[in-house]
Amino acid sequence: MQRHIGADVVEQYVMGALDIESSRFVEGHVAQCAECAAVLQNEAAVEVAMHEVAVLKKVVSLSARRRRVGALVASAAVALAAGLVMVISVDPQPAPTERPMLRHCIEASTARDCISRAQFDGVITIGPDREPIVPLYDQVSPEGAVP
Amino acid sequence: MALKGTISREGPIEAAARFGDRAAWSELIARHNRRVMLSLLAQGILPSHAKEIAQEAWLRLITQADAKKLDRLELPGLAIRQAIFLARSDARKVGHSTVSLDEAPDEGNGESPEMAFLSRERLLKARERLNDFAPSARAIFEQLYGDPHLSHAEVAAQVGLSVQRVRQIICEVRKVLRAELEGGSNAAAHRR
Repeated sequence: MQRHIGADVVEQYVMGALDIESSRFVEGHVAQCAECAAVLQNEAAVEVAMHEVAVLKKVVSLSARRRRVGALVASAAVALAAGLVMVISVDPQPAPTERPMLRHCIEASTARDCISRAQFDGVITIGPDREPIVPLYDQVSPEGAVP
Repeated sequence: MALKGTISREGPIEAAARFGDRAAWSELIARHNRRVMLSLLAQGILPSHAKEIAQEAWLRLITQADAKKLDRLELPGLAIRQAIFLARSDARKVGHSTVSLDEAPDEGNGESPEMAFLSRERLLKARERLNDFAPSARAIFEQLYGDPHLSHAEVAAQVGLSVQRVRQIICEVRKVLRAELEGGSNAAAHRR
């Protein structure tokens, strides 16, 4: 019986770092040696996990981005609600509840004007890239609000 | 360790392959076959048999694409699932693998949510651990494992280091992440 292959060699094999001759040696050996075949299985599982860890970054980043956007929308909604309360308390004429909280400006041809109006109206906008655009309350007062 | 295929989306090469472009298929096989092979080896299938199964899996995908039966081609996930399906079917007939595939948890349905959570939890911990490394080491790891068609030599050329040095860095990162995946630093001591 041949000696077992070192775990470091098997590791190199799954990493694709061995030359063809050495790779064939490993493949031939594990076909005869159950113990080394088990080591190979374990090393391959680790290598698969390495790929998963590398890919995970994108998923984590996406989740974090969604959380950030969610927090932004939530804070904007609170700010908007506060603005509407001010509108009601100062001038009962406009009907703030009739104003949509969210405006879709997804048509690329009209998006610029639509977003501009929405910013002036203090309404959260969904732009052509489907991302929410929050009105700048410190620069543009909602219509009818006291500056 | 029960892990799913990587998350991916259909790109232009995948779309071209789905519409019968053989050059696109060649490119995709060259890019993803190693990942398919690794998944089979991780199931305990011997390399010689894993090569046959991987080849058969690609052939089936090409046939399905030609028959317009593929709505999307997300790789390497679809190829991995096809290969593991073939391996399981094959294992019921003959015993090629070192462990019985029927005894292994089914990747699609048999994996308990708890196990999936643990697995993901460990992956996330490993991911956090990766942040402890220098940005250059992290970049090398992400390039090599995140971009399946890049070889060690290509990554080395991109970062301006020798292939030997790139492999050394990868081995160092891999050792630490491995310990994290195996449940802490003590697990590394169990290696042969």
